[in-house]
Amino acid sequence: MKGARILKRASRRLSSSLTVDKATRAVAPIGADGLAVLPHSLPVLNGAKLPAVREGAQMIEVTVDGHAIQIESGSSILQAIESVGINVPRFCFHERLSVAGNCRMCLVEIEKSPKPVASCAMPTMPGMKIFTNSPMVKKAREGVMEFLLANHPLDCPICDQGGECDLQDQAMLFGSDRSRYYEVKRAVEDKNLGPLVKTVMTRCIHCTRCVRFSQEVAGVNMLGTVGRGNAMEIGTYVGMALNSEMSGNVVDLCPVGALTSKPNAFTARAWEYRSTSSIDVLDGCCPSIKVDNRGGEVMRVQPRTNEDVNEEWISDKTRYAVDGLKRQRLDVPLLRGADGLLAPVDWKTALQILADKLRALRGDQIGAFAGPLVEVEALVALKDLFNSLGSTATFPPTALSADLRASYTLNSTIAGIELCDALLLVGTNPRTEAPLLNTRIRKMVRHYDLPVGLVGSAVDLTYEYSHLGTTAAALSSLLTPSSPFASVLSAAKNPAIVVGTAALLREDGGAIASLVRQVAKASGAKGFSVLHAAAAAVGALDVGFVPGPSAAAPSRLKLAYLLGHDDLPAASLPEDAFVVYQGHHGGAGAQMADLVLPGAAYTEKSATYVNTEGRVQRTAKAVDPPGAAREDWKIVVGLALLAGKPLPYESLGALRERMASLAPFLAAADGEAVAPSSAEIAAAALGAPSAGQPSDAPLGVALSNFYMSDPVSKASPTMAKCVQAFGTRA
Amino acid sequence: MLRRLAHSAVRLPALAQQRTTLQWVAGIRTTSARLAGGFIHVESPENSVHDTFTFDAESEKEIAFTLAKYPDTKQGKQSAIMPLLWIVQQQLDKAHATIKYKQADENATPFPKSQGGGGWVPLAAMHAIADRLGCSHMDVYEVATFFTMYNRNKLGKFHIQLCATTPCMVCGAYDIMHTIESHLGIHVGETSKCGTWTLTEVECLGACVNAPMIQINDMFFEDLTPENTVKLLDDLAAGREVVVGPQNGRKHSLGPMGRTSLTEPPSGPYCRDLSSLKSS
Amino acid sequence: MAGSSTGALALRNVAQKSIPFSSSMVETKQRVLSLHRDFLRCVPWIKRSYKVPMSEEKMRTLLTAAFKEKAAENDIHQINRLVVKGRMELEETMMMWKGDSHVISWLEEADAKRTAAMKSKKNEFLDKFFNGL
Repeated sequence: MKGARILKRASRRLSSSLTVDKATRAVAPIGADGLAVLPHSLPVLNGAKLPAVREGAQMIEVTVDGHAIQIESGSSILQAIESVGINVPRFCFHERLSVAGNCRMCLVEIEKSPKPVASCAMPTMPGMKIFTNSPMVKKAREGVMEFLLANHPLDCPICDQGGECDLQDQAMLFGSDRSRYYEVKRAVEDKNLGPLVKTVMTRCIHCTRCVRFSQEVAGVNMLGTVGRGNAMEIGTYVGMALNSEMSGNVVDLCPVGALTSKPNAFTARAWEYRSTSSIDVLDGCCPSIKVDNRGGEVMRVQPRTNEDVNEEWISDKTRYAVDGLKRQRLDVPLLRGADGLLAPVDWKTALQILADKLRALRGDQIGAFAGPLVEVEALVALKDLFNSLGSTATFPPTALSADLRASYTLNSTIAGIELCDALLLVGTNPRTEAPLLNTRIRKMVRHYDLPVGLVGSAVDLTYEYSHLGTTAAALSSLLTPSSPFASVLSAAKNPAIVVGTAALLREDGGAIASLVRQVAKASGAKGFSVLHAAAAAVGALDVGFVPGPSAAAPSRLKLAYLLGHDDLPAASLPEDAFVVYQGHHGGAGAQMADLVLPGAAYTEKSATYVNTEGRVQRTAKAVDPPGAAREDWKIVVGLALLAGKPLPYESLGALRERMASLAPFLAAADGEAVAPSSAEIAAAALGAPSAGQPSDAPLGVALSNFYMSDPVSKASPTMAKCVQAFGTRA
Repeated sequence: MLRRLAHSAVRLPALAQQRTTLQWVAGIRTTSARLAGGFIHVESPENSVHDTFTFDAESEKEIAFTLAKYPDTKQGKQSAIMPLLWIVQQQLDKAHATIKYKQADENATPFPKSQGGGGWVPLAAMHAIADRLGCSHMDVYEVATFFTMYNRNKLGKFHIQLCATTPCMVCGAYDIMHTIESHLGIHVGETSKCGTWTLTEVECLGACVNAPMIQINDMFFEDLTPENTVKLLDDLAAGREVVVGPQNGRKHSLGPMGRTSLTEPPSGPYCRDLSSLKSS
Repeated sequence: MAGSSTGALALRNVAQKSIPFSSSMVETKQRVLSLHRDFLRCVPWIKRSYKVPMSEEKMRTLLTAAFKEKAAENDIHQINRLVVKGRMELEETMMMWKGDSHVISWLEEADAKRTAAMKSKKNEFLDKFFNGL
């Protein structure tokens, strides 16, 4: 009896690992016969969002295993079955890709149908009677599984997918325990898809998920099926690398071990990881990720489903730059000695030296600069410290006005970009600055022919767009209603305008911003959106980490405090300035520093970040910081104590209360608290006065190198290989 | 394993003997061994990704005619991938014009121009087609690798397609194959060193009554024996006139008794005479 | 502020709640909270009556700190003793049995103690920081 219960629990666990999204889908338990056992009353979808019924959709009634359900007309049989919480095995079907119907694993029985039908590709009909656990279905699944396994190698023990393999799991649940195939198994030559995706093509079951992903989502039509029948192979035919900034997602999509992660090959098994749900901060969108670590070492990063930000994709930088967290780390405070070399010191000495310097200097002689990966906590602490020392010279990486939130966030929101019916991009390359936003735009272009215009350098965005010009003059021409794209914008009901930081942070950024405002007004847009490539930018503006009115120019500073800021040219500071670098990687900033304070990276602390659309989210601590490195806010608080200007918080909770008093929305860092700015507020952001004339210089892009844009990715050997293989994508 | 060896066999003639042995042991013939080339592009001087391809005037005319048949949309134009691949193959069938031949049946339709059987589609041509039709390179590769009709590797001047499906096999297709192999010194799937011959094994070409048979470029040579096969090959190599059709003097596919049925001209298909209907 | 009425209320409480012993921790908790509340309620009255040169806010903070100091106490007899002593202190204060200097000096001493505690706590932060805790 007890044994049976354990068995049942184990099979339930197995079956739950098959579901794509456990939170939104109940799972029917599996009976002793390996078939779904449907409860007498249908399961309630606990707290789950039922798929919204479209306006004017016709509802039809179908019967699933004897239970009558209402479903939107045109839904597939698979959707009908899943809506009552029964899991259907599948390999080729994927919610976010087109239906292929070639794996045949999702076969179910339909009353009066002589053969089982593929439920993913078959639409429901009124009154259809569907059976998911009949003997015919059981036999069909066994048969399909036998065919799939006929040519599949028995190399699970040396396969990196082992333990998280759909084929393994489903073979255990639905397959037979023996095969009738005794011939020689087929072998297929491995393909070289570049430095990220490792291939073992013999394991491929031809589900074509990778092919559909690269065509539909990534927008690079490089993978395909060559040959036919038994000789069919997935590949690029000419032996090219899979040249896409989203290529890592095919590893997640592959239901078997044919496509696995090359940097992680043969390093760990799936069951050895400890997972932490966190967010990524290497781009401005801050996608949701799962940080897998083993023995205090971050091994890999995988996406978490978050419909509002990243759906279930992440870019290659997010996924593979984490090996940079193990290299070039600052793990001990360093002080530049008389010989000009940085030598290790203890924390007490380091902070005391710095505190003495701060005591000795006037407020207008010191300045703080923050880099792209700095969290809100450290920004607030540093700002408070410098303000109490009489310095308002705090410089964020942006120079936008912090007065009105709608003037510096992505007001349309990332998911909301799917609601616009015309899109104007100004001085940005979303493919590198926000790959996840770019896939959304691509989706809209693909499915709804969204008209997209681009002012800025002509780049490959993976979809068609009209290139309106490279300089700000193209924006002026949009103000004349006769120009073709101006008429597209004004005809649109809900046009969106996305401006990159490359356009706004130039000398003439104010003039460009006012031009954009005029275009927005002329086209009836509800505001304009700013696309930040750095995760720290919006947080810095939210807490007012901006240059004060009396900010001294860097050339007049006696002490510069670089908080993870690597881009300050050494020449902009005076020769005798004392430079402090606080951060986690030894880059340009640490090289020019006189004192280096080792901080923690985003996987090593619980830190608040605000993404480009103003969504407040928190990272979670997955591993400890290396060596003597400390969490950044603690360093600043400790320094403040020694400098005689104690800050009114000494715990993370108190610091977060302080953050909330600066910006109340920072209190709820659940990732939910974002809403598109109201039309009035967004319109108010359009009312700023115009400032001068823009120059003729062409508008650039924010990132000169997609793969190496921040301290972490600059230290990553995998990203270096990507640059070799794919270039900078600038 | 087998397929991998088969692949390499195409590229490395040294492995050819081993392949044959293994195939015999396993008792399996794989598809790709019969084709001139595997399913992965192999970079070579005559077929390189860096090449460019231009359609000649004749092909351009054909392309314009073909494209007119399809809607002028992205998907519509994509339908023209197959005809365009075939047009390229016709353009590159250089041998056709040089073959001196007469038809075994004087009334048979002549071949004024190549039908494409002896040509091939270089990678550069696939790229040219993709660019012309506005689809991706992969879309063209997928079609070109799917159909055995398209030869993706450079062939010899004469492309011998030997039918080895059941009727031909029963009538001695493998004798013919061995004759050709020993006479030309090549194996199935290979091109001779002199660049004159390529031998591939194909499935039924529809001349079962006159089995065994081979197709050289666009021409059928039927009712073969080892002797007349050797003569045929020598004649072709020497540029002498060859007879297209049955090699044993048979007319069409008549049996030894001559024509015994269908002796009258066939009547046309039944058709309603609509004009005679009353318009009531 | 309704000083006289709070004062009257406090006197009533002093009379009614002077049976201090409790037999269970649950009961104790209620008594301690009640005592704490009574002290806080009396603050305006004490400030006025004893001419305390501190803000009511600060007095409340110091009183609360005095309670928090003993927060870790978990021996029921000790707690009973403390509650009795607290009631007596409150009664003495409310009955004006104390002089101005008694009350003011207690509050000033408590303030000094608290500042010192705050200081030592800062060192604690630094100690922890330097030791990587």
